[in-house]
Amino acid sequence: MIWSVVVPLAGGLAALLAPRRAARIAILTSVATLAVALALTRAVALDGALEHRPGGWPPPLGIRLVVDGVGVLFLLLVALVFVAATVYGASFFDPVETDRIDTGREAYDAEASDHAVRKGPRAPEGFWALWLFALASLDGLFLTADLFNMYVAIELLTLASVGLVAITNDRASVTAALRYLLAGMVASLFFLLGISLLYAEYGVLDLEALATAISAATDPASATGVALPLILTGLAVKAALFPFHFWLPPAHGSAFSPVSAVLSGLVVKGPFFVLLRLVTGPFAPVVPEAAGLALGALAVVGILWGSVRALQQPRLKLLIAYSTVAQIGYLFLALGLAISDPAGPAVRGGVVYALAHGCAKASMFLALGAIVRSTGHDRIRRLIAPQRGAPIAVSAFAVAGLAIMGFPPSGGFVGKLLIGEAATGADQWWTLAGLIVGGLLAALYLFRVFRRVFVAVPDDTAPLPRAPLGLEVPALALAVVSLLLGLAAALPLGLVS
Amino acid sequence: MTLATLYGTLGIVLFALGLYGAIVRRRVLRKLVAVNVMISGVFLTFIAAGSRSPGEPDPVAQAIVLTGIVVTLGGTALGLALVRRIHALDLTSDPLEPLDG
Amino acid sequence: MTWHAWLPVLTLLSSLVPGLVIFALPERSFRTRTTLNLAGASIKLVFVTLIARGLLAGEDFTSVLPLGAGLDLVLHADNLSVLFALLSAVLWFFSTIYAIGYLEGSPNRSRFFGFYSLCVSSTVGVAFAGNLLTFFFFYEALALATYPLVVHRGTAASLDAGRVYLGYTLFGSALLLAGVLWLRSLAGPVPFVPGGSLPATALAHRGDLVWIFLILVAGLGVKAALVPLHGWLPVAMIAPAPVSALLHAVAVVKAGAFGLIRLVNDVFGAGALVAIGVERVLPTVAAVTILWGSVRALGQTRLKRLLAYSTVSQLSYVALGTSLLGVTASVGGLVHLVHQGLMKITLFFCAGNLAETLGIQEIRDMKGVGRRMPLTMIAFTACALGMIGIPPLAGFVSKWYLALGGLETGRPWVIAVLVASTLLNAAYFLPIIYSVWFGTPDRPWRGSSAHPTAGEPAARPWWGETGPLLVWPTVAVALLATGAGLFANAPFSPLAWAKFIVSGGGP
Repeated sequence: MIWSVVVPLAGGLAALLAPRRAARIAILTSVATLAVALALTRAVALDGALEHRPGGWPPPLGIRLVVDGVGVLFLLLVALVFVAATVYGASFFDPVETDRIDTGREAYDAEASDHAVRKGPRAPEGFWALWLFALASLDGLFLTADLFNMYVAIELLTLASVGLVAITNDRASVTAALRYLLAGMVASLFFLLGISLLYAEYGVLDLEALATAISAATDPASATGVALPLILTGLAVKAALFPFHFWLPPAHGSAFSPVSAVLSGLVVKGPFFVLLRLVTGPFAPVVPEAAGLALGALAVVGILWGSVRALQQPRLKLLIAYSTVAQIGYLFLALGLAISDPAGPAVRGGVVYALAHGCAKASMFLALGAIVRSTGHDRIRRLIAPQRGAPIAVSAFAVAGLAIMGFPPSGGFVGKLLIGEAATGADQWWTLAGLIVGGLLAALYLFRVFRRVFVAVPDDTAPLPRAPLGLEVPALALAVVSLLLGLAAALPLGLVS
Repeated sequence: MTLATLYGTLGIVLFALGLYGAIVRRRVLRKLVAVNVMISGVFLTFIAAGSRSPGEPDPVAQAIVLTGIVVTLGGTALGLALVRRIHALDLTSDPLEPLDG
Repeated sequence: MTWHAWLPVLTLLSSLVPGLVIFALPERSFRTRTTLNLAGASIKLVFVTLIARGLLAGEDFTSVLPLGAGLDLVLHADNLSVLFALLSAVLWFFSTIYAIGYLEGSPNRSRFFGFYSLCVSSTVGVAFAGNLLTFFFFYEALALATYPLVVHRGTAASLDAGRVYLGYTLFGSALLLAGVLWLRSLAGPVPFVPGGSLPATALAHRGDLVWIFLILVAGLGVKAALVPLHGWLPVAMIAPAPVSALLHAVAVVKAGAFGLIRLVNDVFGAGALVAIGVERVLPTVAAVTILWGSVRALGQTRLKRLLAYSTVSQLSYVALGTSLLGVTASVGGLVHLVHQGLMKITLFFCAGNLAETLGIQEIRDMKGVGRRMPLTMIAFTACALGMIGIPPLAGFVSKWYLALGGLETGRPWVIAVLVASTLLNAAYFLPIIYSVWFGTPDRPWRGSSAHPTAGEPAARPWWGETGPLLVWPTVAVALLATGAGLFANAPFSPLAWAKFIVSGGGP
């Protein structure tokens, strides 16, 4: 189990030491991490949740690592997306020195290189090491069963993510990274203050011990009355729940495409996972129903707001970023419903939705990078039949779009269905309305893009250069996974019990 | 009022002050400093939380605060590095000025 | 699983797999694409026929894919699904041939045929759906697969039409989703069972059920083009003729009408509808739609728009027949599902032939075209007369059963609606038929000399009025449409099968 963290950490160190082979090391490492995740999945499917104590130390000084069905699904998701994004990154970054002036940005200048194959930027120094550290901290977050270690993992994840945004190295991205960092640090401090109040009350940090302590306490609701809102707020900021989403679109919109894919697809799922684990675990007896309603209400507003903003974006990359703001709303809808009914379909719906969205959103950002490589820009109104230059990426974008809109047979459909079922079961009609209207809005903003595929090409249009396959195929692979997740939903749902 | 409660309250006051600064101050460096005030507040609370049995220091709380200091130091350093980078990329900008778009 | 369980799945795959392969084909591989298309269409026909034979012998065809958490995708073949699947399989076969001829040499054919196949696969999925969830699953897929076909030409006009289509259809899907979720929360998985599948516990929530029924009817009504949700249909006419033909005859509108049949007969059932007091809703809406569609058709100057409004009207015959909740009326509704499909696809093929060969879009340009394109116009005339309901053509059979059904269920006003509709049908079709055969053209057609009747190229044989791939499918479906009426009492006619369905037919 510990290998899920050790492998990417070691890979990251190796990438630091051998920068010339860093891309190859990263691919090997992510594949190895996937293998570990698969082995863990098999073990969990056979024997149920697993526990590991590094060094054999018992709590409280020792740290417990626990992986259950939900955790292993997220580990799989992370490993899968990382494999695709790493393979993609290896082609995204130009391995050879070019005489082009290296601005570190994707080539947005359409006139300069219309007929040539466009070059990608060079891989910035230390990129792959940072990349693998992000993977390690994500995996750590999904494994830890200890509040303080959750804080550490989530903070390291933020630092790595901020670094990955800033590495684009232009004014917009570094500013966005700084804003991301400030929001992230304030959020973690909320989380940490909440943890310290809990520690003052119960003297434990281990989740299992905390659950015992809370259920044994005489008046647990008042004791956690301050800590819980702090923790919820902190994690909601990290997960970019409306109205704390302000940092997300500039950061995800200005990073390199593979980085955006990982940030949007995976990193925001980290705090969601922690919240899910907390409110269905130790906090289940004490979370007031009002908290669920509040999260649900924010989620609905977030879905509407994110979708409307996505509709207004002139650039495809920002559209996808705002779409993430809306999609996080779905996750929090599930979370809110899970608070009222921890055993209901909301948890399963939220998990399936998170998996589908993780693959689909990552695929969209990867596809976007391929499209930009071919067209030289991402202005939606100026895209004319982009499939001429990047047919596979455009198909990937469309297929991933199915999951985002929640259309069959995608995993998004099953997730949405389960969340909707939880909403009708809880008689929360406004939640159901938000869910359905959100799907409609998603279709509206995505069809703004889809219809560009069908625009008749004027005769005098210059042909588009072909995007490299290394950019297109990973995007399609993830999109197909998000699609098949709908038909094979029984497999992940079997692990969530 | 025990010493621990006093420390805890002080920590929360520091946290609130820092939060106020982090939200209200517009200049980036001041925001960073304010965040560090928040950090001190949280750690103070944690130390107070660990002193339930007088005279016997809680190793867990100490270990946590030490780890926390390392992590938050990393964050602060990264923030400062980013401020410098913005300045380096755009020499017209003042590193002390507020963030714009 | 035995082969019985696999057969509905295989039927689905027989168009899905070729469709996916076609997407990947380069534009120039005409031969491979055509082979795949025709092979898929033929295999599908064989599969559906096998299922029909099996059903006659009392066999059961069910396959289940559990999605976990109580969600099951169920493909189940019953008599009604076979009716619809057979219709779509037959018409897909002919319209594929037609589309190959129609789109010859135009760009983006791989994309077109890919989505064409997806569209048909979704239709088959709709036909074989064994519960409400599965129905919704394929219904949504159908909505999406159709959009690329509507906007296929990529002009500003067709993209706008696509927007309208999408707006309506997504609105319908949203309603349907709400209804499905709500009903599932009351009644569990909602399988399709003749006579209704709502458990007694659900029937206690009368108020909820009324709303659910109305929401579901509205959701399905968008595709079934019930007034006032029909606005997309005339706009979607911008699509290429084979698409319009398929949309109107089988895929989209029929999925809506088929859904209404399932909803009325197999989800709620007559008893529950009467018990919750909504049995009058659908007949009223259907009657209004029949009249409104016919009235609007009267004022149209473009042939395809006229046909579209005619579809709006004719389609509600199906809804009307089903919603009267009587045996004879149901037969009329079901048989019209097939009859309207056969006749309407012919009419659209004819319209496509006119547009493609002579550039005719407007009705006033059709004067005298009967002499230039006799085969096409004979087919057109036969089906237009059938639509009007001249005995013994197909439309007459449907209307006869509907009228009898109206009497049988104590609603004589149905006859008044049918008579009014027939008169209106006659009023918009007969002038066209007259001018086609007896008029003289005001101006030369595109691609013709100044005197179209005299200036025929001598080399052209008498049947060569346009490309063979356009003429022969038209003639074939026209023959089927005529045959369905003339031989309505034959053992395997659509009428016989409709009776078989209504009687709850076993072996």
